Amino acid sequence: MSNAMADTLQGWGRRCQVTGLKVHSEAEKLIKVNAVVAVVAFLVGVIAAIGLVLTRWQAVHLLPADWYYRLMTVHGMNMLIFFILFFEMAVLYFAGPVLLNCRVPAPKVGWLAFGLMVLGAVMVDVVIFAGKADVLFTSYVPLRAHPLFYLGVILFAVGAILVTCLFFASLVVAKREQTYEGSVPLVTFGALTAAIIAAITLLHGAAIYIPTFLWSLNIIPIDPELYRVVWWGLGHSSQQINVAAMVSVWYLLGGLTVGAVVLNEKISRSAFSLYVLFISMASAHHLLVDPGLGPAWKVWNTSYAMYLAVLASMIHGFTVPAGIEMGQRLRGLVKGRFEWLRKAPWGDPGFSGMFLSLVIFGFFGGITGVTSGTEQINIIAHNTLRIPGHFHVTVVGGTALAFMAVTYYVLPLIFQRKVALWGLAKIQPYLFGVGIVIMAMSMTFAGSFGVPRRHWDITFAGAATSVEFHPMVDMLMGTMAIGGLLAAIGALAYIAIAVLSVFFGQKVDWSRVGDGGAGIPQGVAKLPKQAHTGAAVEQVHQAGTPGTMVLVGVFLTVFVLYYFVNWKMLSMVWKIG
Amino acid sequence: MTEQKERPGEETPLGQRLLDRPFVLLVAGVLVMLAFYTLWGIFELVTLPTATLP
Ligand code: HEM
Ligand SMILES: [Cu+2]
Repeated sequence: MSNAMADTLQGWGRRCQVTGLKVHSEAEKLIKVNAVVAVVAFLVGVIAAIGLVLTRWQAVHLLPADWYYRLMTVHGMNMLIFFILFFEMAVLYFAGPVLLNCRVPAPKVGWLAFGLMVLGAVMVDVVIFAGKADVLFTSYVPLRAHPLFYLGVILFAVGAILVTCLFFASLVVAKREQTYEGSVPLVTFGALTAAIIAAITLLHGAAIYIPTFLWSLNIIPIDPELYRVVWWGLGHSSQQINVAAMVSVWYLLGGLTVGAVVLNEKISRSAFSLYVLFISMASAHHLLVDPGLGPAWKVWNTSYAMYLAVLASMIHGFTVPAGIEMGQRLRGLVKGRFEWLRKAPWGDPGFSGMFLSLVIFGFFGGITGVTSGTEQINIIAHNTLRIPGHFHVTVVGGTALAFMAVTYYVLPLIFQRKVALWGLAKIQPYLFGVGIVIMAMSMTFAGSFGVPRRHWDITFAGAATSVEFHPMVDMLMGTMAIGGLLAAIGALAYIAIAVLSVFFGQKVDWSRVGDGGAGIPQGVAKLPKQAHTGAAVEQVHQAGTPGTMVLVGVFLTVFVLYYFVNWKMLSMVWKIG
Repeated sequence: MTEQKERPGEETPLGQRLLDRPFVLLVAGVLVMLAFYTLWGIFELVTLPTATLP
């Protein structure tokens, strides 16, 4: 943390002026390129999203059917796969080499991986835009895309596997070269969780995409139901990489922005290992209406065992805000239950984005997910808009927003640039977060009225049969679009800020960074104390976290109510007599 | 971002030693998933009797 330390480590890298971490120059470069490409993929995804929103809004109904499905494929691939994974590669380089103070073991492999991933992503996008892969991101067999689509995915996945291996290698190297003491930091442990789930994901990816590629060349046959089982081993698990990465980012930003404490390393680490063991098997919730699989398999994988992973999320959902509360109390904000929250740095997009992500993921995402993932309730949620409603508050309002938040710290700390358009940056997390919540909740309620997902025209104009929807649905599709457009504005603002900062931004002047000012998040200007000792700690520990307890109470109440209402709705589906 | 420092003369607890081994976690994670989800799921499908047409 001292400026006295030399900021260059001859020929190796530099020492971070704020955190004191040693940053290997190859790690820094790899973080930069992966983050930049992630933002490019995000831009493609956002443009597609605008088309989707304006089509599902029946009053506008912008696109013809083929382009609706084409852009849906573009959106799913570029957002869920390319944007998120490129960003996660950056997270792995950060949580491995940087946090462990070590070098990237084989930087050439890192560059090869990056090249493969870019090539794969470009191939996929070109094939989709050429109209040869209108198969959506699930590419369910027997829907058939051009072979280059599957090959592109395979190349991309090989790249991602290489980066995951590099992360494991950096753990080994750091241990051997003794660049850290004791256990790895919690954030690295969280990233390890993500990397393990990535291994599970990529294993299933290889097991399904290679045969499907061969099938697309008419070499072998594939059973559609088998495809679904193995594909969701990839499709679901990949989302849990995001969850683990996002939770790691929460812990990281909690520390950087307000000096959040880790209440209990044992509990947080145990929760992460519950993810390792039990979160991937919940892949089965995508197959709850599939006829070929029995109830024992479904219930075991989506309820009994999987609830251990839900438990883990609830643990993090408690320990992160509680750690923030405690950190704030240690900084003297001890009045009442909520002074720590009221006086939090809401104007720091790194903090506001992180906290909104926590609330959106934990509250909206958690409640909708556990409810519709229940075997019985799933039948009234499956393939309705409730599903995109759910995952836009998890992977978008949760993960994507957390990644945006951390970007505001990556820009000054890694790119060494001031955050451009600082005024806009301060409100960006709110625009995006509020927009996504409005959109996703509208989708959730429209889905409860039976509106299907992935459906071009729910008025069934010109069709032989049609379905009447409740009049509420018109309004909900409208609010969905308004929320979606607001989120898109927030997303474009993020892209503008990131691009301007990286390519045209002012360099951070490290000798004057303590003065703060526009473009310097408050945690960078003055890193909060990361460790505490003495009587103050004792006192704050005695006082506990009364504010977080209230938040948890609200969460549990709403959870119980929503769960109950859904069983009630289920009971009304088959009226007898 | 805290690290757990061992105090000299104190044994690291078993749980911590376990969680300090990334490859044990990796193998455990992969095995649980393969056993309960993937292999069991595939087994259900391949042992499914073919429907007889009426
Ligand atoms: C700018 C913000 C965004 C907006 C306005 C938006 C909007 C939409 C809309 C309207 C749909 C179509 C729902 C349907 O008709 O069934 C959709 C689907 C989807 N979105 Fe987003 N989205 C956004 C961001 C994201 C992000 C960041 C991700 C992932 C990280 C994502 C992942 C998906 C996925 C996976 C689908 C499903 C595609 C499919 O069913 O094949 N979205 N989104
Ligand atoms: Cu899932």
